[in-house]
Order: sequence, then structure tokens, then C-alpha cells
Amino acid sequence: MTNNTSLYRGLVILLLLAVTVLTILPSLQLLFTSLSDLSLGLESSLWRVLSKSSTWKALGHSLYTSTLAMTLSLLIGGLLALLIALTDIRFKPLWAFLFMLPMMIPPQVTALSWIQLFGPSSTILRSFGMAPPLGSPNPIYSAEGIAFLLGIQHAPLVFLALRTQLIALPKDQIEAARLCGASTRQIMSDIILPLCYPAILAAAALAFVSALGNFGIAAMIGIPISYMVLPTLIYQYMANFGNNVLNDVASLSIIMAILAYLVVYLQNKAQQASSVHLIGNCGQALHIQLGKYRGGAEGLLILLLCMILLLPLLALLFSSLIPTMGVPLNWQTLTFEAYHTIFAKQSSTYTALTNSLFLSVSAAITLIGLCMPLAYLTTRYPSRKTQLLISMIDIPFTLPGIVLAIACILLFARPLPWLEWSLYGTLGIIFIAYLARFMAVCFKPMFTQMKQVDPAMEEAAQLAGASLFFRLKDIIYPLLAPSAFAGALLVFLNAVNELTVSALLWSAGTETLGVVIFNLDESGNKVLASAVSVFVVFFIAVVMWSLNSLSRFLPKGVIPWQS
Amino acid sequence: MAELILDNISKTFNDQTAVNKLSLTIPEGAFCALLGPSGCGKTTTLRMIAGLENLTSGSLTMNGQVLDNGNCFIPPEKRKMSMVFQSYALWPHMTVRENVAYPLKVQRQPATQIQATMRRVLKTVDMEKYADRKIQELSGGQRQRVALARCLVAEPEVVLLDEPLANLDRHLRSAMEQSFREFHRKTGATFVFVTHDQAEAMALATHVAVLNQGELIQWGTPESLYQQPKSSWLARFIGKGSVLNLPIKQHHNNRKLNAGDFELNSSVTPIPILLRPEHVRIADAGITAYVKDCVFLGERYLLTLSFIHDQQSVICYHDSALLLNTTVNVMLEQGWRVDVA
Repeated sequence: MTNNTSLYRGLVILLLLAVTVLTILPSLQLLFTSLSDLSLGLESSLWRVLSKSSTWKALGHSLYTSTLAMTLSLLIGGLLALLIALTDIRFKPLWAFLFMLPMMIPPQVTALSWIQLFGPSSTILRSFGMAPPLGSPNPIYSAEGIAFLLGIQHAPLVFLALRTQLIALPKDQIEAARLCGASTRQIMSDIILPLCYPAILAAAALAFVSALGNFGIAAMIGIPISYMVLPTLIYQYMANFGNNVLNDVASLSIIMAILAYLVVYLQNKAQQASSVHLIGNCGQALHIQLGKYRGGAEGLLILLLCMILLLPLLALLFSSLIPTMGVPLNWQTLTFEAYHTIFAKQSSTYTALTNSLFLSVSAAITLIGLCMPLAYLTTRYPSRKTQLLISMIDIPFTLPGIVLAIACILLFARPLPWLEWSLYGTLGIIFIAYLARFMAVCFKPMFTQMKQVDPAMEEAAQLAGASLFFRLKDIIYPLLAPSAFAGALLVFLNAVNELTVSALLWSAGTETLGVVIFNLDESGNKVLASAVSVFVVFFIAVVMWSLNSLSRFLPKGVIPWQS
Repeated sequence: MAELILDNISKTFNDQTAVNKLSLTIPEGAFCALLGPSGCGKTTTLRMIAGLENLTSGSLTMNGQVLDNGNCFIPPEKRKMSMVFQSYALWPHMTVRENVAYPLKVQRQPATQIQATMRRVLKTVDMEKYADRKIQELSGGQRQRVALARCLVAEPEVVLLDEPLANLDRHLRSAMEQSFREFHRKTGATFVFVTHDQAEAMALATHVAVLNQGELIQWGTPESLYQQPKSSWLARFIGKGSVLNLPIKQHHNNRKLNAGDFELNSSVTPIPILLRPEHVRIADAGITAYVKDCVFLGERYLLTLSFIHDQQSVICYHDSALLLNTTVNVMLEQGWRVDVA
């Protein structure tokens, strides 16, 4: 397609502008602020931050918890992927769906539910009379506790990445190994694992970076025991406020961003070195017959599911049904008072609920509007410029959320030029941060589907006499609609329970659901926090389920937990 | 009805030449085939005619109006052409009716008129019963007919077909060939179609352009390509036959050689000669050869004979089977001198 060059150019420039503002401008501002007083030498903020022992301590904590969490994620996610992708286990879609839930549940809710599961004040333990004596420590409140929860939270990421790779393994390569006389164990170690090496690396890097940037778990567990990691350290800087605080947090954020990029960069390098091209027919996925072990494997899955999902959620539910902490749940104490309080109109929870709904719905809709033409242009006119656009979209998603939040504060704290009006303290700044952060989430499904749309579809319309406008309206948009909807739902899911970004950007009246849970927990109101969490989990499960039932209208690979 | 003139058109993709200085004059109402092996530039040529690709150089005119010459470019939607794509490119989110009606809808014709035209066109492709079906519910042949209906509904001046029969089985293929011929006769539009199948080109086209590696090899009627190919490459590409290097002394300058011309004389330099199987006969006297292969074709046998003196092979038809390695005498009745290529 060749004509309409001026219209095309205008569109590209407009989109380029929007994507730049949302993606690299915040990072550039961050870099600029942190380096702006470098001329002061030893007095500069970067040097000040680097010379503080708390920085290095937090960095060490971050590395320790993230490495431990990554290992756990790889173990759990890898085991699940192997069992669900390669064996003849029953109810595969159901397993895949259930094991995706831990990722979709907000981290602060995960943390809260595990806190509720253990310790002397655990409602569920008390109800069964199994609570440890008062004064004994809650094992979750420790560095290993943080790492454990981070590991569980991000195991689904590993599961997804590995499962995609395992399903794509050409069956005939494995059959060839079998005909050479290799046993299942040998096939696993000699063929499957080496072929999955790039995917394992990618999954490990993803798990590490996610653990590094996670704020919810580190804050809910780490802050009460003064175990600081980088995101919580930044949060504390901001909470304490003081001279040069913005320069200091900018410098801290830069350290974190560099760390995240270093991991992604190393992973890319390693992946290039070990990349294997899969040749062969990948139509049919492998089915290892488990035989008599199948029941055992299914039992293992159920046990794992109980441990990482069911028990903590039950603990959460128990805690939400009592009048106050420390009371065991029974027929006398059962009350729905907490739920009643949430939905009482004047409460901050209600404000947060409407804020979160408004933010996530409007972010989802705006992103559809932005990503549709973007997906169209980048597919139809592949050039270096459009390639650059695509790679930029990933930046805010790779950046730790707290870094993006700081960048947004730096960028929008001052009044906008000409408008004399500041976005800071309004929902607008959270909205823009969400747009930047979740653009990749919305763009990917649409881009995938757009690449699958036969260009002839559009050419046929062109020869039928349809102008660019008509082609977009009648052909492209209807064909992209299912993935646009899926992308929007994913954005909605991610945004509605988001905490990391909004934790720094909220102010009175603009709190989000994530912030409310965190604040309620911090102020000791654990029953109410549990009730809000139960509501959020229920809500998310419903949205995920509706996305699930939409799957037959969507192209392969759009819904993350389906093959 | 339209006359298309391709004047020296070229297309390069990142330094790679897909079409090189191609010139063709496709007369009004012709059924023109672009024939060649895969990667020869035939689809690129078709897409340039449609306006889906720009010309790198050269010019393209229709009825004297410039469509594309580097400065002036008429976009595809304004060219009054239509195309049947290899994948059919039917829109999966629309029904058969909506697919076929779309070109008229874009022209903003009144709804009643659209309905009437559409019913007529669907009837000609025998698809009225399926008007409200989704595309996914149709078989390959039915999809093809919907694509054809969509292509014809706006009464285009030029109809472009990109390997339209490639995905069909043999029976459906001959039925569709028949309907293409009928539509061509009925509409009087200029048809241009791309194929790699020489039998299909021979059966449908009034004019054939043979392309190889982006260049025009030969342009003419199917008969002239079969009987008078210029190069040995083309002679091998079209129809059955063998190109032999025969040391014969030519007493005239004609390309066509008759029985009397085939006197082998080892002192002359051999020249390439095309021998069609129908012009090679087993006789009582002639060049001695042995039977190398014998294939049953149904109505007769196809023999591969190898000359004893220089091992060159020639094919011919015979009405009975011969044992392998039998020695026979071969009579050459007619030949065509070709250029080396």
C-alpha cells in the first residue's frame, strides 16, 4: 500500500508523540533530575545516595529476596509447566486457569492472606484452636517470608513462559530421540531442557525483575520489621519528605532501573547465544503417558493449589468475617459488618472502588484507541521508525512500578506549561502513569492479531474502492475487535488491583483499591483490609472467567493462560 | 473494457530486482496469463497493475490514462479493477451477502439497487442459497465462488486473478476454469491472471506472458508458445518435449526443421533442437536408440529413448509397451531450433 502518504505521516507523527510522552519522556526526566546536580561533586544527590549505608543494605536485601524468589518461581512454575504442558494430566485448562490466579491477585492481598494464615493472631488457626501462643513470631515476617511470597506471586510468569515453549516443541524431534532409544528421563535432560533453555532464561529474568520491582509484598511484610528493599526505601524517602528528596529518590530510582535493565540485557545476550531454531512440525503437543503416576501427579497439583491459593484465601475470608482481630470465627462471632462498611457510601473504600474502576476502565478504553492505529501502522508499514516505536512501548512495563511513579511525579509535579495547572494530586497523574505502564499489555494481543490478518483482506477492500477510513472502519477494526477487547480486559485486571504506581501518586480523594488495602493494613484495621481483599479477589476471578469464556473468539495466544 | 500498457516497468525490493523492464500491451478484452516458476515476478507484476505496489520505474497506462509512472499514481481504490486473491481474502466478520455487497456499499449505491445486483451476481455463481452464511461455514469451492462474485459485482474494467485455482482439487479446478471462461465471455472485461501451471494457462488464456527471474521470456498466444518457443528454457517449461543438441547442417534459415533436415553430420557444431513427442516416431530405419523408460499414460505409452551413439534422450508416444533396453530405430519428423538459455 502506497498512497495516502501525508495522512500516514501525520498519523505516525501523532502516535510517535503520544508514545514518546508516555514511554521515554518519564525515564529521561528521571535521568536528568538525578544527574542535574552532579556538578556538586560529593554534595550531589547521586553521590549522597551512593554513600549511604541504607542504600547498599536495601540493594543487598533486594538482591537476596529477588534471587531466592526467582529460584522458587522457577521451581514451582517449571514443575507446573512440565506437568500441564507435556503430560496426559486431566482438566488442563482448569489447572492453567487456577494457577494463574496468584499472579492476578494483587500482591498486597497475597501478603495479607499469608499474614492471616500464620502467627498467633491468625483467625483461621484460632478458629481451629491451632494458633501458636501469643508472643511467638509469625514466620512470614522475615526476609525469607518476603522471598517466599514473591516466589509464589511470580511463579505463574514462569509457568506461562515455559508452557508456551513446551507446547511449541516439535513433537517429531522428541519422537526421533525416543526412536534412538532414549528414556523419558534422558529425553527430558538431553532434548527438552536444552531446547527450553532460552525460555527458562527469559522466565528467570522476568521473575527476577518482577520480584525486584514488587512493592506490595515488600511493604506489607518488610516495613513492619524494618526490612527495607529498594522499592520500600524509595517509598520511605518520599514519606519522610525533606530537602532534595526528589533528587535523592530520582537517584535511587536510577540505580533500580539500571539493575532491572542489566538483568534484561544479560538475559537477551544469553538468549541470543543459546537460541535454537525449532524446525519441524509443531502441530501436536507432546503427551507423556504418566500411567500409574497420573493420580499422584494430580494429587500433587491439588496439594500445591491448596497451599499457595486456597489456604491463604481461606485465611483471608475467615479474617473478614469477624468483628475484630484476635477473635476466633464461629457461629457467634460471624458477621458481615466489614462488608457493610466497605460499601457504605461515605467511606474511603467506596471512593477507592469508584476511583479504581474509573481509572482502569478509562485506561483500558484509551489504550484501545491508542494501540489500534499503532498496531496497524507498525504491521503495515514496517520500518526502522516503527520498530523503534514498538521497542519503546516495553520500557515502562520493564521499569519497576515505583520508578515509573517517581518519573511521573518529576514530570508532572510542576504546573503544565501554558495551562498553569498541575496534574499532581489529581486522578490525571495516576491515569497517565497507568497508560504508560499498561500500554504493552494492551498492545501485544492486538499486534499479534494484526500480524495474523492477511494483508489481502485489506487489499481486497481497497480494490473494492474503499478509502483508508473505510478500510479501517469496515475491515481492520472488526477483525481486531476480539483482541482489543482481550487487551482491554487485561489492562483492566492489572490496573484495578495496582498498588506500586498509585502508592506514590495518590492523595486524599484519589486513593485506589490497592492503596486502601495497604493503608487499612498499616493502620491496623486488618479485618476491613481482609474484607476489601476478599472482594477484590472475587471481582478479579469473575473478570478472568468472563475473559476465559471469550476465548473461542480470540486468536491463539491472546489470553495468557490458554494455549 | 480496457487496454493495459506496461511500458518498461521495473520493481526492486531492497536492491533485489523482482521485475526487470517488463513491457506488455494487453489488448482490450484479452484473457492474459502471467506464467512462470515461483519467484519469477508474476505476482509482483499483478500487484503493480492493481496499484498494491508502486513501480520503481517505467509506466503503466490504461486506455491512455496514466495509472502509475513515478510522478502520478492512481490508488487501487480508484482504478476500477478487482481481484481474486490466492487466499480469497474474504472478510470473516461478514456474511456472504455482506462480502459481495461491500464494493457497492462503498460506492454508496441505494440499498434496493445493491440488493438487486447482488442477487443477480450470487445467482450467476450459484450461491444464492448461502447468502446468509458466514465465510467459515463454506467449503473451498464455495469460498472461491464468493470471491469471484465479490470481484464481479462492481462490473470492473479489469479483473485480476492471483493463482485462483491453486488451492482446489482437480475436479473443482476444471469446473472453475469453465466458469472463468464464461464470465470472461459475458463481461468482456480484460482478465489478467497469474499462474505457475502451464496447462492452466494454455487452457484459459488468449495471451500468455512467460516470465523468468523478473524478465519477459516470451509473449504470445498459447499456440505460438507451444510451437515456436524462442529459448530452450521455455521449450522445456511449456509442454512435453526434449531439447537435444544435434549436429545437423541447415540448408535454410528457418527455425522449423522438417524430416529432411535431420541428417546427422559429426563435423558440424551441434545446435539445440526442440523435439515434441508427437514428432518422434519409431520406424524401420533412423537413429538407433534403446528404450530407457516406458510409462503407461492410459491411451498410449510414453517412451524415453536414449541414442546409442551419444546417450542423449528423447521422448515419444507409442501404442504398445516395449521392454526396457530393446534397440529401436528413431525417426525425427519435425523439430524447432531454439536459442540456448
